[in-house]
Formats: sequence, C-alpha cells, structure tokens
Amino acid sequence: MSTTVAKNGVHIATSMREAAAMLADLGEAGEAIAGGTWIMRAPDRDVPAHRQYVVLKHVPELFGVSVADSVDIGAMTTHTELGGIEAGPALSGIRQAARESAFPQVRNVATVGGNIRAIGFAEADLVPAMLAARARLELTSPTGTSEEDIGDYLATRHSRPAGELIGRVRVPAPKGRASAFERLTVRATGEYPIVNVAVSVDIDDSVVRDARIAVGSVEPVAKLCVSASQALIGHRLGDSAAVDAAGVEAAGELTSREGLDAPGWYRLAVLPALIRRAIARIDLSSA
Amino acid sequence: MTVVGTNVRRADGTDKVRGAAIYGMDYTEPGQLVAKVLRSHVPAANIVELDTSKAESMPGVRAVATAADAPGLSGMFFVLKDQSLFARDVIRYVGEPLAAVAADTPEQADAALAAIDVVLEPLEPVLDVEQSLAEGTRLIHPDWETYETLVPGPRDGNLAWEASLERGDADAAFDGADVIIEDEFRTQRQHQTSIEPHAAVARYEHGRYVVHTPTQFPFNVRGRIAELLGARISDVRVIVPTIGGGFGGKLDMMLEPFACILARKTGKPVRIVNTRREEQATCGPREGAVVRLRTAVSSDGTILAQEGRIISDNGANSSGETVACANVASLVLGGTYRIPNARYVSQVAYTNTPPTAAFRGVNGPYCVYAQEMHFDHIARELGMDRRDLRLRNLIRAGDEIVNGQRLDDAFLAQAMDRVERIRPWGPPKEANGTLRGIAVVPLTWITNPGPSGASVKLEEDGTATITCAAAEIGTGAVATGIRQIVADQLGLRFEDVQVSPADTDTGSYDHGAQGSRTTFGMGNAAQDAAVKVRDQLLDVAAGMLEASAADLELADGTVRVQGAPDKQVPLPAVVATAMFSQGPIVASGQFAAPPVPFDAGCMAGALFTSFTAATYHAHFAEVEVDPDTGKVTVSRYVVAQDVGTAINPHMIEGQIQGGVLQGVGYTLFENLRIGDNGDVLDAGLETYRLPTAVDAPHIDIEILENPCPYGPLGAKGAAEPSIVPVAAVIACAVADAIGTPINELPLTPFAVLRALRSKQNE
Amino acid sequence: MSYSFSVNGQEVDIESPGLRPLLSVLRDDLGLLGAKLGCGEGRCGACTVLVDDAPVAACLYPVANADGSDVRTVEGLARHDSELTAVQDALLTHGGVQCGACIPGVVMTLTALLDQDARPEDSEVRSALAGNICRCTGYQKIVDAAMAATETNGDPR
Repeated sequence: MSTTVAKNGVHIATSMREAAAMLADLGEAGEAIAGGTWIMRAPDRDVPAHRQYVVLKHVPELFGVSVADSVDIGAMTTHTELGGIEAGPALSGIRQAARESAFPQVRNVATVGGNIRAIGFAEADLVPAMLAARARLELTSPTGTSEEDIGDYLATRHSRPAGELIGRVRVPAPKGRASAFERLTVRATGEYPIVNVAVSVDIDDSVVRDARIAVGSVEPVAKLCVSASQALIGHRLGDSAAVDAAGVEAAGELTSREGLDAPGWYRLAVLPALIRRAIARIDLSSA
Repeated sequence: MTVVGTNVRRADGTDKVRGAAIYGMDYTEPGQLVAKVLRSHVPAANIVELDTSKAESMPGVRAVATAADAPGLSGMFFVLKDQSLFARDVIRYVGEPLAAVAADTPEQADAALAAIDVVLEPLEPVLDVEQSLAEGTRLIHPDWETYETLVPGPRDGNLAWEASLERGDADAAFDGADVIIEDEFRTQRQHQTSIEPHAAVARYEHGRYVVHTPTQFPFNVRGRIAELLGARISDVRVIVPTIGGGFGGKLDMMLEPFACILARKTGKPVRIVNTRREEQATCGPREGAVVRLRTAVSSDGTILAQEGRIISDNGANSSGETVACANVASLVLGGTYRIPNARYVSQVAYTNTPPTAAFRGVNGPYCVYAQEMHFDHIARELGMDRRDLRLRNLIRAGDEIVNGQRLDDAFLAQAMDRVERIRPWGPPKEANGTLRGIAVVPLTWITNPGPSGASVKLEEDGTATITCAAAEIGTGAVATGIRQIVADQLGLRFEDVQVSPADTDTGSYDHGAQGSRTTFGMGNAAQDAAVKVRDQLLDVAAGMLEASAADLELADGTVRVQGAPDKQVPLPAVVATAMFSQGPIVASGQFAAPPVPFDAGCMAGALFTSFTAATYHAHFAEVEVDPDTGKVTVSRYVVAQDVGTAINPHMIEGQIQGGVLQGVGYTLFENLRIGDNGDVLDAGLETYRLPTAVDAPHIDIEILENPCPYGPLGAKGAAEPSIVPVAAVIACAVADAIGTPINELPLTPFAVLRALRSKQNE
Repeated sequence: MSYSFSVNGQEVDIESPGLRPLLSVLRDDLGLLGAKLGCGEGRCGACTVLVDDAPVAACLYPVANADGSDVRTVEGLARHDSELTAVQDALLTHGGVQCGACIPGVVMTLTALLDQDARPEDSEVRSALAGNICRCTGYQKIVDAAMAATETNGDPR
C-alpha cells in the first residue's frame, strides 16, 4: 500500500502537497487531524478510531486569514482566531459562532476545517454560520485544487475521495450583506447547542433582497432552510410577519433529531424564537 | 479567642494551588499492577457460567478475582447486608462487577477482561420503583429474608426497607379539615461527579491489607472491605491521600476491595482508577423518588395533619445510604413546620438499576421540594400569601417537631426575617419579556451526630499535632476548622497546629466527613483533647512559675500568669520540663453526641430518629423564565444560615455557595437517566450537565450565630445544608413565574416550555 | 514517533504514539501530576495547560500537535521554593480552593486570561472559566480571587 507513510502511525505533513499525498496513500485507513478535539473523543462516541492520522499543524498553507472582497480563512484557523478577525458584517455570524461555541480550551484548538469535516457532528457551530454566509471551500487533492460550495460539500461529506483536504474557506463579503448567529443551550454556555441558527441577508434600500437562514443541530447535518429564507425576501429586515413566517417555514423544512441532549420536538418548538433573535442581532449599521 | 472566627487560609492550600498535592488519583506505588473490573452489560440475568481460565493465562495477567475471593455479604453502614462484591449466580444491574483482573499494563488488563467467558440467562428487569413494589413483580432478591440487618426494619420482597412515623391522630384531623390537598412529585437521580474519580492503591503486607484511597469515611471503608472479604477489621488499614471531592459519593468503599484482593493474590501493589464513564455509570448517585403528600388544613391556613408516602429507589442493593437514611424523609417533612398529626411512610424499593447512595443532603432536597410545592398548592387553594402560610406554621423556639423533639433553639423566624431584610417579600419587577417569580423557603436541618476520637500532643518546639482520622474533603474542616479550635485552646498560632494524615492505624474512630459533622464532631473531640493538654501544660508550668494553675493562661506560645505577663515560660520549656517529670504532653479526646429527647415510640425502621445540633435556614430565590424557550435563570439568591458559631466565615460562605450551585444543577438540569436496558444514559459530561461559572447566581449570604450548647465553641454543622432547600425555592419561584406548578424535577427548558404550552392550551 | 517540545521552559523529547493525549505524557512520562484527568472528554477543564500561551484541554490534545510548542503547566508557574503567583495567592486569600482538584486547571485558565487582559470584568472571568468545572465552590470565591489578582496585574487600562 503506502509509499510515503508507515503503517500504524501518525504522520506529520509539512506541506499541502505532502498531506494530500499521505492521505491518498492511506485511503480508507487514513484521516487528517487538525485540532483533534473531535477525533480524540472517538472512543467516547463508540466510534472506532482510524488507525492512521496525518497531522496538519505544520502545514503552513493551512494558516492565516486575509480580508479583502472576500475573507479567506485557512482551514487550521481556530475558533479563537476566527472570533477575533476584523471583517465586515457579512462575517458577523461566523465571528459570533466562533466566539460563543464551546469554551476557551476548545476554541483555542478546534479549527474551521475540523468543524466542517467532522462527520457525525450535528452541533457544529461554524457550519451553519458558514452555510448562511455562502462559504466556498478550497479543496486540495494530489491531482490539484478545486473550489466547492460548502452546502455541496456537506451533502457528500461521507464519501469524499481519499487524499482530499480542506485548504481554505472563502467567505464573500459584499457591500450590503450582514449576518448574525444565535444558539441555545440548557446551561448558560459551555455545551453543544440544542439548536443554532445563522442568518445572512443582503440589504438594499432597507429591504431584504436575498437571505439565507441555516440551522444546525436539528438534523444530523446543518441545513439551509430555503423556504424560511425566501420568507424574508422583499420585506424590511425585522418585519415581524416575515420573521414569524420564516420561523414557521424553517420548522416545516426540518426533521428533528431525538437526542439525549434534548427531545426532538423541543428543537423545532424553539426554532422560530431563535430565528427571530438571530435576525434581531443583525447589525445593519456597517453593512 | 483569636484564631476562631477568622478567615485563616487553608493549611493544605499552597500545595493545592501549586499542583503539588497528591490526590488519590495521583497516588502510585513502585511495581504496581493495573486492575480493571469486568462489569455486567445486562440489568438482570442468571449467571450460567463464568470462565476466567483463558484470561488467567494471558500475557501480563497476574491474577483474576471472582466471587469466590469475596465471600462476605455487606451493606452500607452495615444496615442491610444484601451486597456481594461480585455478582454471584445472579446479576442485578448494568455495571455490577463480575470479575477483576490485575495485569502489568492497562491494555493487558483490557484484553484479559475481554477473554473472560460469561454465559447468562437473561431475566426480566425491574426498572421502576412502583413496578417493583407492585403485586406479582419478580423478586430482585429472592433470598431477601436471609439477609442480616443492623436493626429490625420492616421489609418485604422488593421493599428493601420501610421507615415510618405516626404521631397524633391524623384520621381525626383529616375528618375535621376545611381543606384537604393532595400532590405527587417525582425526582431524578443526581450524581456527585467529583472531579476526582474513585481510585485506590492496595498492597498486602504482614498479612494485612493497606489501601490508599480518597475516602470521606476511612473507618466505614475499612469495615466494609473487611466484611466483603471476610477479613478481620483490624487487618485492613485505610490511608487517605488528598481527596478530590466527595459530596457523599466517597463515603463508601467502591474500588478498594478489588485492589485488596488482587494485591493479596499477586503480592504486588495494585492500583485501580475509574474512568469517568465507570464513575457516572456505577458509583451510586442520589436516588430518584416519588413523594406523595396529603394535607389537612383549616381555612386560616393552619396545618392540621399530613400524610406522606415516599418511595425511593434503592437500586439493586443497599451498598449506598438510601436505606440508612430512609427516616430522614419523615424528619425533614415534619421538622420545619408544626404538623401536629402526621403519618409518614418512607419506602425504599429494589430495582435492577445501579445502587443509589448518599449525595449531600441525602433525601432532603426532594422531600423539601415536594413539601414546599405542596405548601404553595395549599396557599393557592386558600388564596393565602405563600410566605404568610409558612410563617403561620413555622416551628418556633420551644415547639415540638414531628418526632416529638422540642427545638428550644429554633431560629427559623429569625432566618426568615434576615432574608426579608435583604430582599423584602413582594412581586419582582417586570422586565424585558421574561417571566419572573420569587419564593422563600425555611428549613430545619441536622448535624450528623456520629462519634469521633482524636489526640493532641505537644512537640518539643511547642507546636501541637492533632492525630485523628478525619478526612479533609475540601470543606476546610480539617485544613482550617479543627486546627483553629485547638490553636485557640492552646494559645497557639494557626500555623503552629498540624494534623496528621488520616490513617485508620493511627487515628481513633471518626464517623466520616458527612452530614456537616467534621468541625462539629471532630472539633469537639479535638477540643476535648486540647483542654486536657492545656491542663497538663498549666500543671507543669505552675511548678515552673511557682504559681497556681488557676492563675495561668496560654497565650502567644507561652504559659503566663494572668495579669503579670512578665512571669511566663515558653511552651518548649514546659514541654521539656514535662518530659522527665510527668512524661510527654499528650491527651486523647472523645465525642459522642448527647442524647436528644424525642418520642421513640412514634417511629419504626428508623436509623436517624432526631435532629442533633439542628440548624435553621431560609433561602430566597428570584427567577426569570424565557417564555420562548422555557429556560430558567436564577437572577437573585439569598441565604440566611444558622451555623451556631462561625469558626471560619470564608469557609462557611464557600460551603453555602457550592451547595447552592449543586442545588441549582439538581433543579435545572442534572439528571442521571436510566435507559430501557437499565443502563445509565448520562455517563459523560456532555449530557450530564454540571453548572459552570456562568450558571452561578449571585448569592447574598447572612451567617447567623445561634450557638449549640454541645458544639465546639457553639459551632454546629455548616457544610451540607445549603443544597437542601434549593430545588424547593427555585421550583416554587418558577411556578410563580409561569403560573403553573411543575411536579417533576429537573426543570429543564423542555419541561418548562411544555408546562407553559399546556397552560396556554387550557 | 518522537516529539520535541518544551515543558515549563525545558526541552523534552518524547517517544510516544502521536495521538496519545498530552495529559498522559505530562502525568505518566514527565511526572507532572498537577493537571488532572477529570473526565477525559475535554469537558471538565481539570487538565487545562497552556500550549503556546493558550489554555487547552490536555486530555484531548494529541502529543503530535505539541511538537515544536511551548507547554506550560501549573508546576511551571511558581517554583516550589518561590512565592506563589498573584492568582495562586489570591485563590487562597479569598477561599477559592476547596477540594482543589479543579484548581490547577483554574489557575492556568486565569493565568492566561490575566496575561491577555489586565483588567477583565466579572462576566469575562466567568466566561473564561466556562470550561473549568468546579464542583465544590460555586465559583464565587474563584471569581473573587481572579478579580483581586487583577488589582495587582499589569498597569491600569
């Protein structure tokens, strides 16, 4: 099998090219490890750990954030770093998600790429924020680099080709776009959300021209609620009838998970309120 | 008094903040083996075959222990002996030990466990207490009649124990009542979840078991190990390293017997530590319960009589305190208000679930929750103010409580008054779309009356050492309290008093760090010893100073003549003089709680019969409920607590703050759920939610001093009680906020939103 | 595999499987017992150490990721023969320590917080502590201690 990696081990990659080659060699037996907060808990989920890991921490291309017309985020950017980026209101939802997720010990380690890649992680906070923000993923494999919408990626997350890894996340930040995030926990903080909601809107002349509402933790994978988003379009932001309609539509678009963390009915029952709160949190002043 | 009453820093604190303190989970011995336990995955089964032969011959495996190695039957506090260390023939819960292995490495131990062949014949599990007690249900302990008990207790099949109290003429009172109110409440299991899991290291030397274990109650663990192993009590020695939290969860033996057996079989030290999953899934939590109350009231709000039936979940055996504490339910229900006619039955039922055990406040939190929600129901029915109803029926100094005990020092009205001064009773301010509610709850609570012995000696340098086996579980009772008491008796500085590590070989019997008793019980014993040491010092110094001992005092490390401070001798000189005249200066002290008069005839099956050094409390809570999500936030909290005498106010405040927050967790989200297979569902800290710093409400605290004549310097127990009224006061405040009661804990956002919505649909 | 990093200022070379938790290396290989294995699932914070000055849950931190980093543990704050740090000292003065099993983690979290922000608000201290479970104290006296430590921390803003 492998030409570049030994059996049963952890391999430190030092470039994208090397990481992709290692993962391609390992095939099904391999997985990339970023911050490790998800993979290290595989035994707690009764999930058998992969036997081979490629460490990404020393791949320089995966780091750094640059802010221009779009915001370009390295996949190894941590929640803490992401929460501190200075970018416009198009990124507010992502920033809020990054700041409010988990607690410092996890935010300091858990990465954007890991959050998007973690299969089975329904409660990821960055994912709905990225979905609502129309993020695109730069994917690198031994054959080259491509770009894909995050929604398309999530839909095929279980069956991505070996050797592919998320390199960068690009979030467009056009003028007139603003966003916000809201999550609900049983305790005040410090746990997975029962429901999380991200809303991103394009505003022109005080009217919502385009909108994206993404909801996490309700279904196994965060979902863009198309009908709910539509309900906001053509209305003033915060128009209460439109917001109520969005809440009803979103609840209708989703099939709720039963979980030990919360009963399924509850996620849908609180969803309209969370959407309302997320929308109320959108700051248009700098959009 | 110079040291007592001050906020001295804890003597064990520097090592703790440096990370240098060696906890049970840190303790190791050279050459130690690793032990692991094979536990049942099914809740009920007959064991057809258990074959360890393959495991025994695996690489690195040094010994395998099974039921044959632990012949004894035992039970917590030796009350009801229905527990074997390993399941013998029958499995009664998921997690029950089947075998244990000692190996060179954890991987080898795991491999050995996997190689043990077990053939089972499944039985229908009994998971619910009411199902358990129903006619015709399969007996979980078919041999229940053969078990030894400490005292005769009413028992019957799946009814492990029944404690009852009957006083006055309840039937007549109900016949004459204006109003009769009836309610049922259900509460969940709550896990202690100390940061440190259970851990033990044992070795077998000179024919004795020596075990290092972070236990709250070394002598109980010693006795329990001996009984389960069939060993002599004195052939077990328990040594206590630093303890990383207990809250009741470390009162009983847990892993120690496995380590002891395997140490004997291998001749090597054996270490065993629980994983977090094992900890949550197998170490006994506070029991779930059903509480039914029925009360006769006159139209002016006077309680005429009350009937109560409490059914608590013992789990599969009596390895926890649930049986021993059964009668606490009656005392708590009838200890705060005048209930002239009462009939309480507290039943403990077996189920095929992990055994339940003591958690701070034992059955108090749910009994008080039930009683106070029930009182609010009475107030609603009568159209009466909730606080007025409580004040009308409150126990006042000199009143009798339900067991016939007179509380001459009752201080409940004063506690209610102090709370009133901090947060006057009245509706909360309306604010930003949240629903708001308030409640206030009084409480009488107990100080555990158990005995203690200690000795105090004077060192050659004039410092003092207390030798005792009291465990420091973090409250500061040993790290500050008893040192402060002894320092004052001997005129020493705090830092001149040491305490030996808790070791059953060197310390006298002590009844454990439970029920707020260490400062009270051990404080009394240490004070008794210190007074005798003081007498010896004065006697020797009298000769040296050519003065009468009656004219001498101990101060600043000297013995001096009162009123003539220049006539003094330093303690080292007194100790040196004593050495070759009377001998080294040392004395032992003892404590047993004085008997409390009560009506013994009114109770049956009761191990706790009365309140020793009763303490009096009032808690107030204000809550905000989010109407969209059902989420409850405790926005204001007030505690007034009688502590007798405050030995170290900071430490007492810390106990109040910690206990209240554990109560907040119990009330709002902590719930150790049992699944359909009888297994613990919340075995990890993701869904077993513990309160964080952001969940902690601000608490206004008033420490009340209402000295106890037989407490050390008047002190009473202070550590346990703050958890007890929390569920009651928050649940009553939530009911006030949402306009409907919720008769089941915890008050999760799900439960509260459901209640709000069903109220809207009415 | 072999990994090199510094622990409390001293370089170490560790021969270990790469996914082994940093906590296990610190406790079992290096004998640094301050950080505790409270839950092993990154939720209690008793194992908090600093990696490149940021608090992390050492029980979830693969040692491979520590390669080339600076790791600080509670043992590295004040040498055993020296004074306590302001945070450690305040925790004792304000009664913030009971059983103390969470305290090495709490100390590291607060140390990092006060390094970053000389004068945090009460609410910021509490948020910073959201990943450090203390089952004993109810947190108030830990927060009191942190606020007191800020008094002697850096220059006023």
